[in-house]
Amino acid sequence: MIGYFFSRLGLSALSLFLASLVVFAVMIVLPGDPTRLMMGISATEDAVQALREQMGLNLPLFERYFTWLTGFLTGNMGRSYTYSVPVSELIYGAVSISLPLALIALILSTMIAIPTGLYAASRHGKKADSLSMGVAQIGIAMPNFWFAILLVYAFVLLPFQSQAWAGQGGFWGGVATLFSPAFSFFQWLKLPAGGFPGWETGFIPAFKALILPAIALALPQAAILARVTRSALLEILGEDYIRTARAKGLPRNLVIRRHALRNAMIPVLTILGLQFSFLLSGTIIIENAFYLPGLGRMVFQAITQRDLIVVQSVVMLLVLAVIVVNLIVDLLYAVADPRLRRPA
Amino acid sequence: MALPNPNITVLPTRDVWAMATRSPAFVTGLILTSIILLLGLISLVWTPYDVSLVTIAERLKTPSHSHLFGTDHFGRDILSMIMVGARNSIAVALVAVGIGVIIGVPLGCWAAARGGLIDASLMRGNDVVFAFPALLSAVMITAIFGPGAVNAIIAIGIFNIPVFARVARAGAMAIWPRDFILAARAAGKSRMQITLEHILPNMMHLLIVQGTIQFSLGILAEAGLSYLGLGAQPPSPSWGRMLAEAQTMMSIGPHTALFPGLAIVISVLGLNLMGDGLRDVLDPKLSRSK
Repeated sequence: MIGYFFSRLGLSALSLFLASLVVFAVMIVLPGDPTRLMMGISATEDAVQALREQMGLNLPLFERYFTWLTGFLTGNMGRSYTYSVPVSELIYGAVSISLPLALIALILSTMIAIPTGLYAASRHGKKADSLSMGVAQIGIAMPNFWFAILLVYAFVLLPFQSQAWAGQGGFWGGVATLFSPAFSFFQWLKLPAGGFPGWETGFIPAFKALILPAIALALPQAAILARVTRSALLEILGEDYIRTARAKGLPRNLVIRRHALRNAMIPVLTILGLQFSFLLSGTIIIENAFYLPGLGRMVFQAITQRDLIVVQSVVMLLVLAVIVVNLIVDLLYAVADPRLRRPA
Repeated sequence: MALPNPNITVLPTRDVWAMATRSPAFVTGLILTSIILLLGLISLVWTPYDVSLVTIAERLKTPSHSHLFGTDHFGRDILSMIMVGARNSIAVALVAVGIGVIIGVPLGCWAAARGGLIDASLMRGNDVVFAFPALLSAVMITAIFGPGAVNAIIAIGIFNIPVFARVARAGAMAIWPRDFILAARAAGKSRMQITLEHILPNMMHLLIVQGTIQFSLGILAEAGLSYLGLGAQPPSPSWGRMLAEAQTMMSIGPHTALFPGLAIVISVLGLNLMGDGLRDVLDPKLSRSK
């Protein structure tokens, strides 16, 4: 077990080192001189040169890589070219939005997916199974930003617009009357269509701003996870020990809960680990769709503004997160399944 | 964790097709995908309106006989834009899959055939690529080389390479220990010959299933990139950008967000259903549990 632990740790460290080389190399080949962008086209050659020296851009590549890496590891990531504030400060602010967002999405998707997968597997081959898996298929096919647009329409715009229709007859008047309890509830909720008030304005308003983005992020993840849970369960339900448990007279639901679900958790865990990377990708789009100043929106803006020092650090941080999560998942398997502890 | 799958079956392509067309999921998927393909193909020769025709007097019209899907905020016909957008989405995703297959499959086969250091270093390289959230890197690539359809293809294609390398390696590793490979080796065939004549034909179905999955992911990725403004550039229509524009029009023209989204869902759903149907046919372990 200890040998397995250290070999996995070593491989992760190697991946991390190679990834840092890739990130650094990409930043070097990126066209556009950041000092020129900062000082404008009218800056004199001398001034640009002075700034280059001040930022350490004139140093040899090896030295620049080393300075950046040690800075990154010690939390001293330099100052943003565009905002002239320490990168670590920007990252701290953005993480305080993206991390809760990703966590809420993860919890939501697990809460939806595992019961759905369990239900579908227990009703295998029946209508409820096909129906829930059909819905899951649509959930997978739905781009999260389209879902985000529809959510804002349903929770924010429609309740507001329906007030005008309520008095009239016809189709829309009917819709307004039929859904009026839901619409007044949504109006009472007052979920924002976008933006973030900041945690300092209090927990409730900040949390409200994350609800719709988290739902939009969670849906495709939940759909995938539900399918994996279902197929993992079905595979295990065909095993001999399940038949033995059933033959002993244990009711089907108890067998699923006590024997099958625990063993089905291994593939589910794998997908949860893999989804972390998708979740990070998702935040780039969803944070843009809802104008949330999180990591995803920050890295997107930094890329378009050529704020290389921010891009470097944020990308490295995201890669670090992915590698660490995958390491944890790998170690968790070994805890769950002793056969995997032997070196491959 | 890519353990070789011992359940890989060896089936002739003709039988696979006959079995697949009996799967309801595959047939539904095939119909949905064909609708989108057909829309894209027809748009090459005919669209109801010119997609660059701006008629401000006709702006934000709801669906009617003259404009089946309505018009957008410039008065452009949404159906015509979706048809041309289909062409764009299919082209980007298809070429991106092609890049993945052409580079990834030989790499995976090579790793499986040689083993040892070559295999280990290729797989390590794969892990590094997987550590980068795909969309983040695609955003970086399109931002570096400029937004546009061609760069979107490259950005999406690069991430298909390790996926196909992994599938090809796992497939090839499961076939190498078979007796008929041993016979071919005894007959004096080189590893290259064996790979081309025996390994590749026997794992074709794995590649086809993965191909449909990557195709659908490519359509989603293209939509995401063009939603962020990094895909095909105006005036060339793309589903993602249509949705980005519709988002700002939701209070006055919600129909503009409906149809591009549906087009994405139909094409991705169609491809996924086809992939699922094929996999059910090809993976006997899964179909036994049915």
